[in-house]
Amino acid sequence: MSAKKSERLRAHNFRRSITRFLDQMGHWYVLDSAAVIMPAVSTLSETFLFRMSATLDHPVNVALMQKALDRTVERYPYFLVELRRGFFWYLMQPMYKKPRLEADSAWPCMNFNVHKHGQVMFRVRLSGARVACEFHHAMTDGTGCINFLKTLLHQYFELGGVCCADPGDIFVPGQPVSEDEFEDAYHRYYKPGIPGPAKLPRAFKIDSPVMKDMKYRITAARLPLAQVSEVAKSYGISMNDLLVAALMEAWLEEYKNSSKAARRKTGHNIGIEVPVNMRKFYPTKSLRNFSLYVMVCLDARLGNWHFDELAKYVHHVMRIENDERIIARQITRNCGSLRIPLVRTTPLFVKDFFGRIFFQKMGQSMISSFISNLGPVKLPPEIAGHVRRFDFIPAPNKDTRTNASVVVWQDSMYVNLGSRVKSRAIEQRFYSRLAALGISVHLDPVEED
Amino acid sequence: MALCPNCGVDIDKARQCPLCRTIIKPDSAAADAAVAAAEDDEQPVSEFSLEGLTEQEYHGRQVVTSEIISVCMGIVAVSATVINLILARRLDWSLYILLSLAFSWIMVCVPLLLPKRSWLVWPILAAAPFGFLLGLDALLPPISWSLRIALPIVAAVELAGGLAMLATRLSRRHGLNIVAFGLLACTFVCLAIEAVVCLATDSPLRLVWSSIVAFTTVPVAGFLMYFHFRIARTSTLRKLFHL
Repeated sequence: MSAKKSERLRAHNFRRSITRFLDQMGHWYVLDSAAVIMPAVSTLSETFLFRMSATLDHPVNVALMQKALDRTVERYPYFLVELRRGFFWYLMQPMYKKPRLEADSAWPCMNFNVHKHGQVMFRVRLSGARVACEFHHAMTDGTGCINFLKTLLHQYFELGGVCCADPGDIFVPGQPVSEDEFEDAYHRYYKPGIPGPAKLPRAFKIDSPVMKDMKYRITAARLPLAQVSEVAKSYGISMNDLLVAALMEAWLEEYKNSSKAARRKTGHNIGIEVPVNMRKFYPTKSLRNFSLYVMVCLDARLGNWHFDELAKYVHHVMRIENDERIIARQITRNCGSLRIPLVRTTPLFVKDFFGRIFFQKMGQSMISSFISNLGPVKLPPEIAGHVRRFDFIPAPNKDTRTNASVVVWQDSMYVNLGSRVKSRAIEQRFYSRLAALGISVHLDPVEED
Repeated sequence: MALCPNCGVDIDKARQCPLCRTIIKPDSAAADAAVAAAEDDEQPVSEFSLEGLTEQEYHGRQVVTSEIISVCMGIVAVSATVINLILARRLDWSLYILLSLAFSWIMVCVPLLLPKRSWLVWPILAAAPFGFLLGLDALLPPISWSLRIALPIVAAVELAGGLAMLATRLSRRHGLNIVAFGLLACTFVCLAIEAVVCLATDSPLRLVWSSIVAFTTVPVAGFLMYFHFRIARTSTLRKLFHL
């Protein structure tokens, strides 16, 4: 590509990456490329809310936490927004009413109407010593949510008299808000002319009824980090690969035990989606969505697999697929389609209709389950001493049904499996495999369905 | 905070829009530092024009543009007059061309030659169509259709357009209310046309087709007004129709 063309593309990408606009009524934001489809498929139970929570060493002081929240939202004006419909696209309208803390419930991430007017696109919930931030995926990904939670904790402890000499990477109120924090990084790094990702076969789904009454079961476990690391090293793979392999094996077992009718109804492919934080490939400060995924697929008809074989298979697939050039194909597919004039000028109600079909046929049908690993969370030592644990709960989904999220805090790994179906087979097989590998799995009490 | 008039993006304290390179007028003391820094390494530029020209340069360009237009029109006028004289040995059809050129010249060149004198430009522009239509009618005496039909219709169009523009100007927020103003203006014009035609043809004043137009457009305009002022208080057309 010539320098002039490259410069023109860069300028065009920059223009498309701008998400904040201003008119005579003030600021407003557009959704990033990954988020545009989410409002169309969001419902009260398929909320697209995911959750990060911190459990402190003392019951949370509600008044103090409310003050901390008021301060925190000032630092994140691009999160203090409500969803609105435009004629062609969804928009995010800034809100001037600060959100109130809410009491937590037994079923996290459920019963949330993102389309409701005056409804900010996240909520902060309290229960005892736990403070939980539930964010809508149309607004941000795990990186944005954990940043917000860290600022909230920092403010809470500062108000409580715990001062940090160095807040580190925590965003502190009073700092200037950079425009890069809400850029659409997908558009910024869009490369034209690259083919989109290959279409995958339909994925196998667990044959179990969906729980009623907005129930979302979380099976949380604490794993000693040293043990997980040791086991992963013994197989010559990463900790993340180990968890993916365990989840893959759980699904293969489930396939074996399923009826022929169930297999025919869904598919024979086990597709595990592993989200990848694209910030490691492309420099950006964006706290909007900027994650894509690697698909680890295996045809369940191919025969029996020992765990060590699965571990190697997952490891090599992850090494091959987790490459910037390969993942960039997804950016090309997502952003490229949004730049087509016909797509841009199609009214939103038509986009909503086809978006739901596209999401089901092209997205959800290819995935059996996903496992999202946020990695280690770091806090200044003054605060870290007061935080017992972090949890990361995946967004509820009745199509992929049972999904996993992982976060590492100090010397422990916290794994949360969220499920919308009655069957607990995946959770049971997944944790059993980890335990069989010699890892001490400390399960939290699970709410009865 | 500064708003780019072209792109509508907030460019914060920047002096120039990074997208379209428009120079932005700094509107706060906070921007002064950025402006001062920018002025250190570049020539001071007037904040008047959109293309980074000084006010004098901008006006100079407008004069040159009007001169080019005048010369072109002059060539056409002379050519038409000469051809008409050669072929017919008198001025007949070329008068229509000359009148049309004069009307076009007023509409195009007066705003270019009289910038910042809107108190003078607008009345001239408003009067020009009357003169043009009256002139056209006068070319084939006696004066007939212009006084009874054309001029009242032009008056109605100008009145409706002027009121719509005034309402738009007075609106704090530009959204669907602009569409409503446009619809109401069109309705008024339709009613006026039918009324003028009735009066011109000495028929009884019965508004038939224009009343149907009014019955359909007025409720739509009312709904749009209601939507704008009651429902979409925070919406603007720019936001609503963002692509």
